[in-house]
Amino acid sequence: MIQIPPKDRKEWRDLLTGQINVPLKNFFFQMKITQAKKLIEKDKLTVEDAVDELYNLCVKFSKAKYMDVDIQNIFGSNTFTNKESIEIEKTKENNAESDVLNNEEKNLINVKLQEKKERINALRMKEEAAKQQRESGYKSQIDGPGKSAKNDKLEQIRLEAQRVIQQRYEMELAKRKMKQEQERLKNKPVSKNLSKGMQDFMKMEEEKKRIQQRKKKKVVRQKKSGFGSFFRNWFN
Amino acid sequence: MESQLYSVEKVKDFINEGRVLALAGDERLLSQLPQGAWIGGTIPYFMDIDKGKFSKDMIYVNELEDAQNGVSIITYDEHNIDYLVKDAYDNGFTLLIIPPFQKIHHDFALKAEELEGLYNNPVIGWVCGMDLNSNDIPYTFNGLTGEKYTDKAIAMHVELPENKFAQIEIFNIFERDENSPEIEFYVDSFDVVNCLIDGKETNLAEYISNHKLDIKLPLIADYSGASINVSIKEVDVENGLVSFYAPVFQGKKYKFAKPIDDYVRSFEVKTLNYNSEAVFSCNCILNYLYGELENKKINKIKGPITFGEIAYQLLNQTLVSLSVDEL
Repeated sequence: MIQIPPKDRKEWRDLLTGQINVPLKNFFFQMKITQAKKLIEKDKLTVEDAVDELYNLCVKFSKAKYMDVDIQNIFGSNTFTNKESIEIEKTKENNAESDVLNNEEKNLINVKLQEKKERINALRMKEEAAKQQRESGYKSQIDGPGKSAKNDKLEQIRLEAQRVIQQRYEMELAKRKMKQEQERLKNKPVSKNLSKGMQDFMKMEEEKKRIQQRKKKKVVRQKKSGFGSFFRNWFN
Repeated sequence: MESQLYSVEKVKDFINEGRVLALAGDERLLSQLPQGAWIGGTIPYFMDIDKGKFSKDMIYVNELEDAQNGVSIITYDEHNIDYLVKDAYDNGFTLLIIPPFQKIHHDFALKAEELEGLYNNPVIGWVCGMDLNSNDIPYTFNGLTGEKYTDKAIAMHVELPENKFAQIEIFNIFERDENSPEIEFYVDSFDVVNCLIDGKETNLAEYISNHKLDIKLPLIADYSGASINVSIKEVDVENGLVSFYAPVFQGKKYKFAKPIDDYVRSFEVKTLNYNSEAVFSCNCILNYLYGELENKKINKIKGPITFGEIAYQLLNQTLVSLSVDEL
């Protein structure tokens, strides 16, 4: 019985990320892994999706020639029978489904708790506002109308000063963040990769231009291939 | 029915009996056939049951006996080739015939590897061709509609019953020469001017010419253990341009193939495990010519000789075969 190990086995991931480099024998397996690696490198496929895809195809083609040899070479003897492996995957999928349900229940409870907290906070704020109103009415009664106007002006100045301080603080914070970001970008290795990527892109564009130019210039040819002349008309 | 060369009359009978067929032969013969469940491509070179043959009087027939559940025949060009995989059945295979050196040929070769779901089912096939000593034009045929094309590919999608699956095998007589420099390319292309040879930017045409390399030997890339050939079509030293029969790809590391002393002997050794019961198989024109396979019999190799082989993607100088097995 051919053995396809479950997809959470580390080796699947390692195979697709180049951690395991076993020469394979089954043609489909060889081509699929090469393609998946390329797509992962180009950020067109995630490793997780690639593992899913590869696992499912290996199950589908588990009886293909040399598949058993390749699986044995990658996973060693510590593998499961195909049936066991599929059952394990099914159990995991069921568990994952119940996890999703549990998470949804938890989320619902959290939302309800949050709503309750917000209602309590709103009530508290209302009470606080009423209390402040009561106190300020009492104060202005004691100080009289002239004192109350003077207090209002002082309060306005205090608030304005607070606003200016807050503004300055925020500006300072923004400057610091900008500086930190600049430093981070300067030291970030990705920026070097980007420039390498740009270099590759430039090289690619240059080569494309060269090919176009040379193909146009092909007036005199030094024929080395006996069959080239037969296909030339078709190709161009 | 045994896969082999048959007379036109016999093939007409097969079609009228409702058989599902993949055909290869001269354009004048294929044009005489009635409409039916068949696809075809032009070529006059074959590996028949007894030996390698050149024939413009017979048609090579592969009957797709497993196509009991479902068959669809679709014409593709550069505008709808992206649907090739999507049009296939959930369990089955696709047999594809492409005309050489047209836009569809170019696009399929460059895009195939990125087709979503390409490996869900085997995609096998060939690039049709013509008599190299003639002015004939290669055609593909859609038997269902009776139309023929110089610029469109024809695919037959076959559905297999649940208890069966299809698989592709390739047979490559070439091996990477470990002493060869490592060659990398800047761009996915059928043509190359400059490349990196052992990390140094070099004009490939000059390099091949200066080192007097044998251009009958392909470049080989390693696809996780599979040796994938790219054959050299032409080295134009004057313009510093090298053209290939299939594209080279950026990011892949190529090496030249090890020289072969005896082409036929190499074939015999490498194809010992060839499944003569294969549903379909084909071999490269360069193998046929360089190996001088006409009138020679090698193991039980059969099928049309082609201007390019398809095993998920375009290959060169390779024998490809498809078999259907029980699950």
